[in-house]
Amino acid sequence: MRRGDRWLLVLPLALTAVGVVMVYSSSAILGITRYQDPDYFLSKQLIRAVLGVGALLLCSRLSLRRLEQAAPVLLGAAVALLLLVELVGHKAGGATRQLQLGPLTLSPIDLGRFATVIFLARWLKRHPPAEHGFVRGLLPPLAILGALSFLVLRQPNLSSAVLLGATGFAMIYLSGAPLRHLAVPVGAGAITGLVMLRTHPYQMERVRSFVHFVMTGELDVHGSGWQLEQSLIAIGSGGWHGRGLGGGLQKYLFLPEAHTDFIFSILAEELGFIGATFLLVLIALLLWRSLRVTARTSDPFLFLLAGGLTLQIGLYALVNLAVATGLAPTTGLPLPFVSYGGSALLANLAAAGLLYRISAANASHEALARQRWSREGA
Amino acid sequence: MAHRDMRRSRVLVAAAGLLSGLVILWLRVAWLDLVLHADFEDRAERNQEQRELIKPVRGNLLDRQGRPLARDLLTYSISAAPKEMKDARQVARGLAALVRTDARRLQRAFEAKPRFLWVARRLPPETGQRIAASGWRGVHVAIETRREYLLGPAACEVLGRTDLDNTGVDGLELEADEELRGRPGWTTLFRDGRGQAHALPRGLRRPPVNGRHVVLTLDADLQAIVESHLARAVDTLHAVRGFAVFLDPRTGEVLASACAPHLPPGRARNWPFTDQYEPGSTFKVVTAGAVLEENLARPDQYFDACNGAWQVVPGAWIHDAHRAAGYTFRDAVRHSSNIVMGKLGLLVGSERLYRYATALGFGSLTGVRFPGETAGRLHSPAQWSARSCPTIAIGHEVSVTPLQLALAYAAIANGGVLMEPMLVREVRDERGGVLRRFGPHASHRVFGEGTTRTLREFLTAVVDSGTAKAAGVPGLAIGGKTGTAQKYDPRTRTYGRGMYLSSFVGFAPAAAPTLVGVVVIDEPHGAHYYGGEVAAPVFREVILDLRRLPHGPFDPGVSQVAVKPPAPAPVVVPDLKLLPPRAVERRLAEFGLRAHFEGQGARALAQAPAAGQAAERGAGVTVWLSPPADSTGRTLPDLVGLPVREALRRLTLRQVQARIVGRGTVVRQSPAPGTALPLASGCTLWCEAVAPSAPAAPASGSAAAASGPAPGNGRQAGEP
Repeated sequence: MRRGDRWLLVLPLALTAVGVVMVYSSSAILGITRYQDPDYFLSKQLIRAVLGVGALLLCSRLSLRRLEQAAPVLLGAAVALLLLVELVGHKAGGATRQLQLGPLTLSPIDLGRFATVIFLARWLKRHPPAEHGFVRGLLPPLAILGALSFLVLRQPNLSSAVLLGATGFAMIYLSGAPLRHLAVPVGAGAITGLVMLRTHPYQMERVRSFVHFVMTGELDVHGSGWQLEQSLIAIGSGGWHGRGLGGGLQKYLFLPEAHTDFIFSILAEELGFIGATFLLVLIALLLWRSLRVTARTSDPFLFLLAGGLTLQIGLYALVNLAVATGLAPTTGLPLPFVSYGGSALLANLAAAGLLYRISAANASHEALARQRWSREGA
Repeated sequence: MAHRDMRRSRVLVAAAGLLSGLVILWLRVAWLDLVLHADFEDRAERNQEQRELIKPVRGNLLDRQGRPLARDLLTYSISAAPKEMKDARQVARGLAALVRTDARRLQRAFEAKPRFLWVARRLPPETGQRIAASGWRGVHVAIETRREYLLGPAACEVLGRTDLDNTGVDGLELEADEELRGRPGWTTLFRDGRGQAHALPRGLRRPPVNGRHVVLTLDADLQAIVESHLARAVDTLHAVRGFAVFLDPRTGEVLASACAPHLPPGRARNWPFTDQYEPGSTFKVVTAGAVLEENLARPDQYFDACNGAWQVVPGAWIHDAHRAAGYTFRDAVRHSSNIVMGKLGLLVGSERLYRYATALGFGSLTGVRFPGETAGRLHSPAQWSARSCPTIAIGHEVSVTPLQLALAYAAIANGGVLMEPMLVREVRDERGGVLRRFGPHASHRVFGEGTTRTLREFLTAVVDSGTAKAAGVPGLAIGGKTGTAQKYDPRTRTYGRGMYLSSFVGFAPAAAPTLVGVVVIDEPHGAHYYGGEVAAPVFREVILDLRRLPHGPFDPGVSQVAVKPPAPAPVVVPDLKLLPPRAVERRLAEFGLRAHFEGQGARALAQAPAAGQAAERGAGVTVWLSPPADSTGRTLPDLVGLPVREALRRLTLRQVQARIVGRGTVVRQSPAPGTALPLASGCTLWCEAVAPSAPAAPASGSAAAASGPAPGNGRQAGEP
């Protein structure tokens, strides 16, 4: 097997390393207050990072053909877990999102979104929407997406559901579905979203405070705007070079979820604009290398898989950062590789491993093609 | 191929989407971080930080012997938040043991889980620190400062008091506030998201500077003695009030200033400085002194006393308490004859009487550093009526403060020099090092030595056999003068009948007084009201108590503390700073001054009196020498005679670069020992191998002698 694009190993590991450091910096205080142990979150994250690197290495050697075959099984397992979470889920923050497996907490969403991308890539390869028309080509994948999103939504986790739908939709777009066909589900999605807001008051509250913020720049600092206010203060007080690593003050119980959803705010506070730029550059590089891999694939499954994984990572990153900087309503999405959280880190590192594997496959394919071309030429 | 193109274009769209998203985010971060930075910084500070003043510890007020009169007392207050506790019962038990309360009551109080409750307030520091060290969750320790006056209400009038912020509001606390208060520091306490405050080590921005200690001239013993006797007199005589001031006539140092009764804070005034009264007969020394100084009458000259009633001008009479045909000048003072003294006043004349009175400090502020001092009242002769001159000569138509009177008598006691009053001897830093020392200041000479000697004789006779016999103490010659003035009643606008202000001014020992005291009893009620019967006994009691006191002002060992009053024609003390001791002696000898060294060292660090101040010829100048060169490490040590290795070690300790010529034992060094560090350049050591049998000391000595320019010993060092 040929060597893949090593950027795809270096960049995720670099991001993970930044994440471990920032998790420590932002969670030590919380660890002390909650568990009397500043290293509580750090040690957990370190174990997960090690596991994640294992997953990355494993995935970078995976047989892609087997993966394609196993896609339905994977999805089935994910759905089973999502259903299980409905029954015996571990409550966290008013929503049932995690499964307690002994010492590990598992978020089925992370397995779910990973499995969904793989399954959808396989489905779209076998039933290209461009060739099967609107009803037979577009509706089935949309139905699958809808069903999965609905499962996630039940938890309730609107943001993950929306991102899952968005990723899937982007994959359908990449697979070459006609644009006029795609306009229909966009409208439907908008309607569903509005209904969701009606039925889930706390989502509505967030959106309303966001709209208010966008319109007036004011935040309801005592209600749902508190978190965003604290996040903006953290980012804004960073300046050019920040307060220095570990010197941030907003993590002193001001910014809830500083080590998970708002880790970027702490990073910007402590490392300033320069540090934030560095992180954005890392993410941009990763996305660029991944998309480069995507564009070079010849097999439709690999094309859609790489595109889907890239888009998933990219969308999560964009939404997370947009939330932290007040450009999107506050939701609880982790920053890929960086945020605290085991399942997400595992899933993202696995995705990175897959991307590397695909780049390796591209390389061998291209080498093969070159060989064939030179043989034909000769 | 079309398929491939479509794919590529769609990937490009996706890439463009992701990239533009990242760029927007980047711009947004730039906007927040760079453009709105100041604003957010502000908000973060408001959010998190709370600037909290750290109060400095206010300096102590010390008496002349260094005993604290007022000091800041740190007290600890313990509050509890049982909600935060892990095991409230155990905490309650532990706390109860430390603050010595009932454990069960505390437990019950904790069981109600209030958010906040005081456990104990104003605990002594040891207990407070132990509780703070125990580290119980939910137990909070706050430090509060309280000003403690160690003499209790005594001396409260002169010491003054502080307000809730520990700022001086009256008395010496106000006057010396600049020195005492220090400079507050501040810290930025950091508030976390739950509103709990933490002190961050990084947050501390300015440490507080604690106040300096002020050493007063007051003597706590004398103060207590004077107060107790004064209070007893005021009580037994049913007087309205009494006040007294004692000072050292040689220096003008106020030793005690007492008031009775003590008024509540805010209304309390230090009457000896702030109240004026008609001095009556005690003022007659002004007349007597003027007569003697101007040679207008001999002490034994006889004067007609008109049988107790003399018409000064038509309608204005002066009466004597005891009818007599006449007195000698000496006896007129002894028996306090108004008539004779009034006549003597006429002899002196308005202008001269006024001049002597003002020369003795009457009618003007004494300049004592104390808030609210009054100048008294002494009109200029232009405003005097025909009867004024004899009336003023016997101490009426003037008002004086007890302090003025005491200083005037001090001038008589010390040989004729009016001293400036002193309340502060030293200002010391936090650790007790003297920052400033205040020496006695002579204002000017009023009387010649001969005049004052005669006056002292007169006044000693007053106590021996005159009106102030009640002040007499067996075995100690005391001089003094009584005074009894009718009080002016502002309601009736006349001198009130039966309202007297009885006073006594005395000094002791008569021959070479070390103590002058003024005792005033306001409106004594009862059979006695003469100053000799009312105020003089207070003075006597004070003297009696003082004689019993070891190290009192009559103990010859202690009186050295106060130097002889400087003569009014002084020399200017030269600047001795940094001179070696021998040069100091030479320099001072040029000015006719004597050197008195304190400490050991190569250089003069400080001196008292300061350079440029006036000092009497023959007076001593105290010179503080720098500590031995090696003890501080601020000067280059003497390395001659040391092995190179050891010399290098010592130089390294002082961070001096060494250049070594030769090897073995140091025989010469440059720069010389005693040179102030840090050096601009390194230190050069010349070394020679010395025979191991040779003892180190001679080697050093001979080497030093041989090396010439480099002296071997810090003490002999000249200018480097």
